[in-house]
Amino acid sequence: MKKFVTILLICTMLLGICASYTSCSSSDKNSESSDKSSTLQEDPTSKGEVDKTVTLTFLRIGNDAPEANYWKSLIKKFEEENKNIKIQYDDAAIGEPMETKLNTLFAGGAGPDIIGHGILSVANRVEAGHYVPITEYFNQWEGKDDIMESVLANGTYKSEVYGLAYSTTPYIFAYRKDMFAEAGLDPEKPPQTWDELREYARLLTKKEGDRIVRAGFAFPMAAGNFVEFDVFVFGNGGRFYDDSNMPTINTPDKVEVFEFLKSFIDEVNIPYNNNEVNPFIKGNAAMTLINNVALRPMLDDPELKDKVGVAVPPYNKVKATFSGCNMLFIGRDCKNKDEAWKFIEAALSKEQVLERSKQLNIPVTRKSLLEEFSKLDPYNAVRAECVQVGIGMPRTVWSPRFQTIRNEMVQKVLYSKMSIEEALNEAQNELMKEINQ
Amino acid sequence: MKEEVLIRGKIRNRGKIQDRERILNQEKVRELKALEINFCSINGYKLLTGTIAVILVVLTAFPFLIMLSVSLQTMKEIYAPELVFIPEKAQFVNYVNAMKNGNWGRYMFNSIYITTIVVIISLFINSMTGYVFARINFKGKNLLFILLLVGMMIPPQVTMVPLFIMMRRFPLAGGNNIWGAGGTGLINTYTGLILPFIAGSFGVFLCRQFYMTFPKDLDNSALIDGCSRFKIFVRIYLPLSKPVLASLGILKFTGTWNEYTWPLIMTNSDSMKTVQIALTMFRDEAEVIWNQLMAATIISSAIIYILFLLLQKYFVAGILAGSLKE
Repeated sequence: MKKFVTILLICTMLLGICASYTSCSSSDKNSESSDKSSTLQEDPTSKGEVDKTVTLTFLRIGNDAPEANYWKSLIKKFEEENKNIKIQYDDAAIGEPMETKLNTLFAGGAGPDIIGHGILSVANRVEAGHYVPITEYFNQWEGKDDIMESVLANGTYKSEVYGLAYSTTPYIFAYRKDMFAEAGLDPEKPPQTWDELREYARLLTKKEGDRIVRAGFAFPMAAGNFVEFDVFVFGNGGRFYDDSNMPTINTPDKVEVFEFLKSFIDEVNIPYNNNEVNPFIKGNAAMTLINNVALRPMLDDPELKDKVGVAVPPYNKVKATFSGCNMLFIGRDCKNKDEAWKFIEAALSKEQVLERSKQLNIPVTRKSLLEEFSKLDPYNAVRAECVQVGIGMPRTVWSPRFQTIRNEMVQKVLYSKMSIEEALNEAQNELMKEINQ
Repeated sequence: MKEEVLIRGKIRNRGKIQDRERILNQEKVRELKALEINFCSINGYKLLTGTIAVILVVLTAFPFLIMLSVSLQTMKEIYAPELVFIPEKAQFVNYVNAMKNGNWGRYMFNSIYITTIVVIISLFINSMTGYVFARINFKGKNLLFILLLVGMMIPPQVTMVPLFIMMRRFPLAGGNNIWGAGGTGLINTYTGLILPFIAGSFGVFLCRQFYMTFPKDLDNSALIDGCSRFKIFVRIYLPLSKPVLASLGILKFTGTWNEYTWPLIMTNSDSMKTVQIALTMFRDEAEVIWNQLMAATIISSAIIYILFLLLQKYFVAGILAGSLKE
């Protein structure tokens, strides 16, 4: 019996090893030799020369099918043009999944060669040594002067370029032209200043008794990331950090923003969470601030043709808005940086930037393409302008914590749980505590 | 006189009969009343439990019904200011579009393949280990069992990175040498997705508790008859383990089927993605395609519903196993 058990155990072990080999080889076929990632393969050619093939891993944030399909087609084209480079594409959903995957891969020493990620990742991953600077490559690149300054700033940290944007998501001001006309306002003249915004919002609000049935201006009262608040801060000439990367939360410009919002928002707003559907999309609001991509279904709706207008958000001191972006980085574990840069170069070429704007409805990031982009769609001119005046999330190591603290602070003020000064001071102190820790 | 006595006797008898009838009638009335009260109380009890059951069913079924409803709506209906529960026209095309959004045949195959292998192997290993802990005495058994229980208390997030490194450094796999260096080990392989799930503290614990309820005489008589421990397990214990294996099977099945994080970090190609990873594909930077997401969720969860319906009898029995000590 003991012999039988021993033989059984040995057989099981052998079977396990065989199975692992089989599955490895089958998956390798599918993933095109993942085990040779970022290494050089030397294949003798018929002439006896050595052909060096490099396989690079590319992990992108977001796994929606349309964008994944775009990247796969770009990779196919790139591989055809560069026979010695193979790109192994991978993606992860936005948020926690991307962070978990990236952290585990880096911890396991298997970090991707090329990474597509957002602004929030810059400072932390640079400090953790996950991203390597690409300044030298960038300085030699033909397109370096063509990239919009606002976009370039997002990937720059401590005077080094780490990431270059391949997609931007500016927040734009959207309004209903038909509702403007109904309220006696000029549909072609959206509000440009804060005072106009407040005045128009009051005129456009519809009430049944005390209940607001149509918001004059839809503003979130809760959020996963309160960037709508940032739009007003930036429009008031404010920032959330100074040149030494220290937080500047409790400054007069934020007080002014809160005072302005508190002066009218309760009279004109239907509260919503910006993780949910904006009342503007539901037809319950006349004006709002919205991610330009989220507005697309409305713009494409034949029933709403010529009824939706877009503009740069109303401002107090400076024309500005919030604009997020995703960038391409080279990872720490990349052994073939030249080849990785070659792929980044290809992805940021004029041809591909325009292709992305056509296929994925993404605003262009190169100045020379602005005119062509504006011709593609009547709304594109505003979107491009919003990218140009767009400011992203803080590029500091405390920015992920900032997001939570800022969200809580805005909610406390909007729901009158705390005075403006108290909330701002509390947020500032919490961030300072975080930094000191 | 005699006549008088007779008449009086008759009257007395009549009175007695009448009294008896009255008593009988009163008893009948009492019985009937008792029956009535009983009947009413039974009906009242049934009505109460029935109402609670219906409320619970509605509460638990409500999310599913919403999911079903959304899967058949247009995006316009989903975004409508008022909640739409019954769509104007059922959009079955959402199911078709959802399945076109990615390689769903492959994702389904991956999930089914991984889950099936995990369930089969883990049931065997867990039940065998559970039997050992329940019946065989050896040195350090209790310490080993405590260590096993400790394993149940460590959250998977803590062990994720070390486990990933172990999989990556797996010797002689994915281009690795005997020391586990040089390649990617079990990353992006079925083995890498299966191995960490085939063992499990909870399964061993559940089986041990179940086997503890078996009379020891079963083992003793089999040992006297010359049966080995392995034979006792295979020929006596396994055939009696249907409830616990069914419940453990369904728990393993749902656990593996719903696993998201491990396949997320272990796979790096579309062809190795599982259903749970694929379900996140309906969200982009700005919006979620809710109707297609719900359609895909219904399709992917249908397998679990079917499995539960088939095994629900064993599932409940298995959950109760070990709760009573004989």
